[in-house]
Amino acid sequence: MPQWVVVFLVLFGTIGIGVPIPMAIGIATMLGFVFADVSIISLAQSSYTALSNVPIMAVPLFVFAGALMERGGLADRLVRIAQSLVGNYSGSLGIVAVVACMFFAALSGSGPATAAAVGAVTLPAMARERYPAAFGGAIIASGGALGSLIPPSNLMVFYGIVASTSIPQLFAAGVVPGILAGCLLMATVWVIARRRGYGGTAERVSIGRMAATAWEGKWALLAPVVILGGIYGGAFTPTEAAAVAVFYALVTSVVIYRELTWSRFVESLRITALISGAIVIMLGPAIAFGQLAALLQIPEKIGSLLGGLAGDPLAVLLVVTIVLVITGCFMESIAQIILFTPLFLPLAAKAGIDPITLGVIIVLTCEIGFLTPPVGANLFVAMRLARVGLGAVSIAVLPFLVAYFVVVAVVALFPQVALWLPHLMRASVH
Amino acid sequence: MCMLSLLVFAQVVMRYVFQSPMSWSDEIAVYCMVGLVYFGAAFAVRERAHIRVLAAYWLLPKAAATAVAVFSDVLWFAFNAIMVWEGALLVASFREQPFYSAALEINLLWPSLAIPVGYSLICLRMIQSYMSWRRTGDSPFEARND
Repeated sequence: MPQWVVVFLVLFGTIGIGVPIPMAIGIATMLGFVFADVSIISLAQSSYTALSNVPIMAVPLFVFAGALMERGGLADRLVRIAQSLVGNYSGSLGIVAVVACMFFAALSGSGPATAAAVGAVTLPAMARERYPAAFGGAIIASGGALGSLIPPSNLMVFYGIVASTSIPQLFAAGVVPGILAGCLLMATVWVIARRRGYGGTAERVSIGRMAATAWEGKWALLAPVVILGGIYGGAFTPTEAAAVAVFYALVTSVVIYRELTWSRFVESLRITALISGAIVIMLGPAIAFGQLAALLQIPEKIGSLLGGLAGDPLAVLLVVTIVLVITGCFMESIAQIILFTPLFLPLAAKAGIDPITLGVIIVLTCEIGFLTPPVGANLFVAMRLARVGLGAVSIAVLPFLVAYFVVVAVVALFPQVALWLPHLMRASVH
Repeated sequence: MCMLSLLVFAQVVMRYVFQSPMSWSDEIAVYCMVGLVYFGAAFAVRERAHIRVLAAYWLLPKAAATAVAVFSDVLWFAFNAIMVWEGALLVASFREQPFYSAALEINLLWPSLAIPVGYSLICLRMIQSYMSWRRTGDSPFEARND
């Protein structure tokens, strides 16, 4: 058996029996280094060097900012603004939830955090309107996944680091597909709600109310302007923007809304430490694994498996999508990104796919991974908040998955959808 | 642990307050972040927050499931032990051939200590969770309810 196949078997074997993913990658890489006659000390070395870079700090900072905003009252304000915008249609509360997810996604870099923040506020309201719990949970799970597509996005930070691609440009590339996905999700909510006759009992749209809630939530609305405006205005890098987001969240929730208690603050810190320890640690072994993949020429070998199809961008993207959707059922999204990006990137480059398009496709398929059992971070959040079983949410989420697959297809067929905004930015810089 | 994450944020926030993009603050922030990650990893063992695929554990009958999960922990532990060793070698190599950082001129020996220390802490936490499993029957593979 060729060595690289053994490495892969060990990788998936160890993951399959329950070794935590960062360590499973480490074990497979160690074995590969033994095969390739490279000293294992380089694994320790990349465990240090991979983390000692500035862009990666954006991830714990955005996690912390998101946790603070969720607990400090910014999420509530955003939901209220979304409510005032939507008005009275079939399934209006569901549509409100999606709009609120889109707003919160512009503050938060994480899908599950978006689902948790918006779900905590909107699910009780949906329950009052007699939405079935599974339907409400599915809306929150799928809307929350937008958190990773609409900038800022932790998944894109990881992709940008592993693929050495510009993170601000990746962020920009997520905007149009993100809005498209949001609209498709709203359409899905509307169709289902209309067919089953779920309430339109919300208040009518009134300019006055819209203005009042927008004014009340002005600090929440201003946050994405500051964060994203700062990045694109060239005032700060994504990492600095994340630090500003933390600062902003602290000031608004402590000084202005006065909703952040000390215990909530500690809870946010705890979440940040846990996510850093469980997820960011993965970068070390993953970078070493990428070096190993290059050493053993794994991408070339996978490319030769594809044969003549390797030159066709659509075929390559189809393979990427299929692999990520299947592995996404069992793996965490960030693990997928840092494991598969070094394998797919050379293949995509050969087929003439822009690394930014590849990034958007990978992030989109990872979002589908958020929504597929047995391992789907957003489903877990939704089932906890909506108090339904994993099975029920998983079935209810299926129509929303269709929406995401449509967006994947659109971006694959028309990469301009994703590339338009980053190109515009590049043009304006030069 | 919380102190560490606080420091990271404080550092970066400070830079904005004083409007002076000093390279040393980036460097300290990076060290804090490395520390945060490895201490966070040990913390995550206690909180059972590590990302693992427990499908096999849920699907298999109880006895087999426990055997598989314990075996996976043995592999994990062995990996940590090797990382402690290799990390120590890395630190030792910085001792012999010092490598100084750009802004603060610190020997990289100190920040890279995070790796052997961090992985040792993970090992300790694992031993701890197994001991409490023996004592209280609180299985390290079940999610905590708190």
